[in-house]
Amino acid sequence: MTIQRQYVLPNCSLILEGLSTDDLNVLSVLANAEFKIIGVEKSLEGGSEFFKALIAAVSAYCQRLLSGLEHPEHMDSQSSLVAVEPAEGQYHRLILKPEILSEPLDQASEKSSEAKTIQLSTVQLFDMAEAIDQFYADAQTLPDFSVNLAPLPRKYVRAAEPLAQRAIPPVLGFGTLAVAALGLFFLPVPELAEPDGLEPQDVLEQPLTDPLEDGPAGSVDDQVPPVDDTDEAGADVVASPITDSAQLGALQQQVQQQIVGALSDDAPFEQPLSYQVSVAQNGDIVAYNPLDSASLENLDSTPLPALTYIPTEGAIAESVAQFEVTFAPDGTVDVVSDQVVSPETAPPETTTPEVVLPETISPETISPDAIAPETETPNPEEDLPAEGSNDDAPEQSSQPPNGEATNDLTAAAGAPDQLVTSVVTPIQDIDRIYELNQELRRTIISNRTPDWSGPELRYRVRLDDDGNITGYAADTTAADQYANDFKLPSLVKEAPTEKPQLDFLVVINDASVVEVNPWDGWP
Amino acid sequence: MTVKSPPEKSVRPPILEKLPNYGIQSDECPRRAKTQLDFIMLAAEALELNASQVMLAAIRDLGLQDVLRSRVHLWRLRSTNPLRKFNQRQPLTLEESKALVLVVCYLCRKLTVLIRQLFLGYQQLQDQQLSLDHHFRLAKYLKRFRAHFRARMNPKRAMVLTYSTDEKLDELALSLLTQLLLCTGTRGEERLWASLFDGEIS
Repeated sequence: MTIQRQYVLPNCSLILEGLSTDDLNVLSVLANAEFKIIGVEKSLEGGSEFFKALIAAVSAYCQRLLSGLEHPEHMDSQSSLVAVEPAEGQYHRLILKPEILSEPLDQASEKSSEAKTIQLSTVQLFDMAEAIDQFYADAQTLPDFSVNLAPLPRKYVRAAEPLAQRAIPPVLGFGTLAVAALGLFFLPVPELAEPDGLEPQDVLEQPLTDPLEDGPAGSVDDQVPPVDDTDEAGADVVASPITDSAQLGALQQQVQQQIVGALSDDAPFEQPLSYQVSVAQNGDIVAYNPLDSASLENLDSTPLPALTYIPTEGAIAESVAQFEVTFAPDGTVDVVSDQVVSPETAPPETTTPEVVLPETISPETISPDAIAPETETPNPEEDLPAEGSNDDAPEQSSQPPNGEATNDLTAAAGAPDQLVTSVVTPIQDIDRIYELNQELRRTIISNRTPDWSGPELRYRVRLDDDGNITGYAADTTAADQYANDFKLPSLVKEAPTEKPQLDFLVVINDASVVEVNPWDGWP
Repeated sequence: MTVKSPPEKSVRPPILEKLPNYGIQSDECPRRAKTQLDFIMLAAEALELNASQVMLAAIRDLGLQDVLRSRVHLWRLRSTNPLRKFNQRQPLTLEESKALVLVVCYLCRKLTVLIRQLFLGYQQLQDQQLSLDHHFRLAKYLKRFRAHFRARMNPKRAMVLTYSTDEKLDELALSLLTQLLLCTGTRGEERLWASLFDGEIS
């Protein structure tokens, strides 16, 4: 039997017609559903499909009105049969696809493809929803139909702002940090500034020392006042050396006059005494240092302690010149400058590579053949006439040292090739070695070319017991070329080899400072 | 020590069972739900001056005294709305919010006639293209709502700032009036309750 149910509300009435399949008079099969809306000309009619779609859309739209969030059920799309969307003001649009409506007869001519749009006021819409809710609450009608009221899942909620806009703040933050880090990377690390209050005593000291001293205010910590400790005085002077050669010469004369004038007539010492003396710019002897034990013992017999001007603090920082003063037993005083000034003269390239001049060596002892092969370094481009006698040299150098004593004695003098062999009877006395050492040093210093400059040179020089140079050999290539600048070839004297001899190492460095040491080291 | 009676259970009002939990894990209402509940109550108060008394009566009628214990408690729960000037930084539990939903819908049903009148008047005004001031009752509601809103909401909040003009507040009041109308329905409680969690469940 056909059952009809009506849900009547002020603006809308819902009429459901259907069949009951059991005795409980429950409407379980829907035949027709009709919405009669007051103010809307034609009622909305349709079957089960229409009814299901309509109640889902209207119910979802009511939830949208409550929460403000769009529900997919009421949205207009291709698949949706019924859609509800807000219109102006308090109106809402109900959009129905024509295929779900069972059109009344007079509407058959209308185009069926056009969607039917009905404008509903809020109250009309609410009454529709209320009719649906009342139907839903009625257990006697269509219990299979359900109106779902679950909250909208999160996935349907669109973000209020697009992802690009939400990404701006963190990107801006990291960007600012990166720019700041890059900028700070190029800034220097700030230096630690010492607070001024930490060094009050320095501030107090300055006014005390400065008015007393006219000299430049040197660093106080570096000064070692050589008051009593005369042994170390010369060595500890830290000052800039005087490099002007003219000034050095003047100072040298001044010191010589000072010492000679103060020297007593009788010399109570037997040996020559050597001292390293530091001389200030005005000619004052500011420090001295004995160079050997005899000099130290006989220090008081020299005028040096009396002549030494003990500077007050601050004066040490003046530039000084180093001299070597030697008191001979016969009362002569020798003052030799330690330093050789090397201005920009005589560049090494311009010096002739002529090393050993055969003419300068005594002709009876030198055969040019003996020189060339034994100069250690290749003697460049020298058309030495000794090409044919090269074979002599290896024989000599390969001979045992003791056998050489019985060999040609005179050939040794002045011939550098002889120096490769060891000395037959070396000088043993350490004091004598020391004296020879100093003597050789002075000899070289006094014979060198003024204003010499060049690379570091090393010579092996042989001396006999009397201090005569009996031979030399260049130890480096450059040394061979510069031998004439030190008049080495002319210094060589003839001496018999059976006399005690000793080899010395002479090093002239590029600052023209001469160093002499025994070849085999100090005994 | 002998115990003769079983331990007292806090009896949950059975009426709260009407509203499902929707599988929400935490016991706290989302921020939007707190705001929406308070706004709806604000709109109801703008409609009915005596609304707070009616709400207290509703609590008694619905048997919700255990959940909403007093007028002060009700005020504190409404103050969980983060947009309020005197915002109570405390959670609004699901049970409390359910009780509030029931009370609001109870109140709305009492106001059904008034709400429908307002809507009919609104419809007439719109059809005749008149401003909202021409309906005395509606204008009174809007004016009261604006006063309530401005008195109680924190103007420094960004969301409150968006309602700085009368027009914006009128829009809000009308949309809240629509919500009140929906709450008067048969399934008003369920609809309001479900709408509180729109977009909050996974």
